Amino acid sequence: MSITPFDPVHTVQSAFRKFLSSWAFPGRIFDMCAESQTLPEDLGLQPILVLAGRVLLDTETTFCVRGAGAEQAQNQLSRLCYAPAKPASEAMFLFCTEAGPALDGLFLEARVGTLENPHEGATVLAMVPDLETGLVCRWEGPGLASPRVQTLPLTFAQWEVRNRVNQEFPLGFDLMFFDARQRVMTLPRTTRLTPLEETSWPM
Amino acid sequence: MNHTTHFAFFDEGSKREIRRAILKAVAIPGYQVPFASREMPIARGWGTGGLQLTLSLVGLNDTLKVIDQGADDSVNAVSIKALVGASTGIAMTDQTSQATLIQSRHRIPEVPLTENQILVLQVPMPEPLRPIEASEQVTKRLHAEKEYSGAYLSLFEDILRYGTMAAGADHPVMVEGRYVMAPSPIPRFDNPKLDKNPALILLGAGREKKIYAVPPYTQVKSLDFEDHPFRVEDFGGAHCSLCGTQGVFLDELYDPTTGRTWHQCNDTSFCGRNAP
Repeated sequence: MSITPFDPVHTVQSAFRKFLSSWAFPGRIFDMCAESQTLPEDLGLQPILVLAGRVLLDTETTFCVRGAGAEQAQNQLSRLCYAPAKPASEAMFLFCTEAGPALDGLFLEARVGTLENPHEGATVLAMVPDLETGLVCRWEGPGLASPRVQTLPLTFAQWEVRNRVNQEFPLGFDLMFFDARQRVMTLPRTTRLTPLEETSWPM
Repeated sequence: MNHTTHFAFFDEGSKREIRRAILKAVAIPGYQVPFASREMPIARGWGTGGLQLTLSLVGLNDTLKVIDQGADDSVNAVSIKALVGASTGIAMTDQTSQATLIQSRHRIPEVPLTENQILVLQVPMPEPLRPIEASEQVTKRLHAEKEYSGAYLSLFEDILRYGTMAAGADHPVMVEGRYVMAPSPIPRFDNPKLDKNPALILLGAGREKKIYAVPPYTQVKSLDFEDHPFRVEDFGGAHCSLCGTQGVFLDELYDPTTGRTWHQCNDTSFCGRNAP
């Protein structure tokens, strides 16, 4: 496969449209290899997280990074995208380089917006080992033609926290999952999840 | 001096800000997300909100269709296509099924949309509660509290005055049981097409600086009452004089010299495809 060089206009546009499709169709997996492999930067982060930064971050928004190598990644993303880093409780985009306890903390700290301004709820961007491994749930809500049984790349405990924080719709945070195969899947706050079994996934 | 413009007219910062608003609009169906509406080379009220959405979405692989009140070749549609075409070089089409991106002023095409399409609707007045409440601060609170008795009261007053809900277009809808939304001034005939539509529908209001969305397969119900159910326009069995189609949205035409009236499909590309 020939790899075209990164283009700050067209690569970013192409990545955004896939992100938008993933928000419009919760639970669907979109391959981002064509875009993330073109990135010239090696920030020590998964390329797809850097790509997400290039698509979403600039001086007009805020972000933070948690997980392994967070401090270095945060500094580098800030230099690359000119976005100011803020504490998790204030940031609009919360990057997490791993799916373990660091992600649990972000779920509790993430902004959920207000009833008058629910769009101020944060977006959590989490790197997980595999989008197709985790808690089997029944998914329903906007973007799903009918209820679907599908894997959620979270533990039962994380599902519980996400459910509790997001229970008063429209308040809540939205989740984008990425894996090492450079794929993306989104879980907007509108999607209702019911686990089919109370199993937890060791991470 | 370099006279080349940015791809899709906007600088990348403007696109990014609009794109972030689009994502939050998709996450909260029917909720109006504020955004920093830009000055555009067309006047406010001529589709600047829809145009800003289109320019933030469009890519080299897109095929664009633009319609104005159902017509592909009216001034507004042609001007928008000229601007997008000149600043992107992408393909344009009149055929709904060939378009990946459809910008529309006040109609949802007759040809059913698919999951691979995005419909962008131009919105002059995004706030469905504005006729009953002038203050933006108050309408935001009413939405926050899901306090929509004013919207129902407005429809009730229509019934008292005219015996029916009288809005010819922009009849308010309830999105996913949470937000009352202005569906842009699409005719009532198009309201049912919003419900569970497979395509992503984005609505942009440039003057009012709002973006909102109806994600695919979202429940959209026109406001009504048990004893006065919502009804679409009734054309009384009329058919298009050009293609003969019934059951689509028709324009009534009138010849003042003879007094004769006749009908034509409002969706011109649909009609052209069906005409003998």
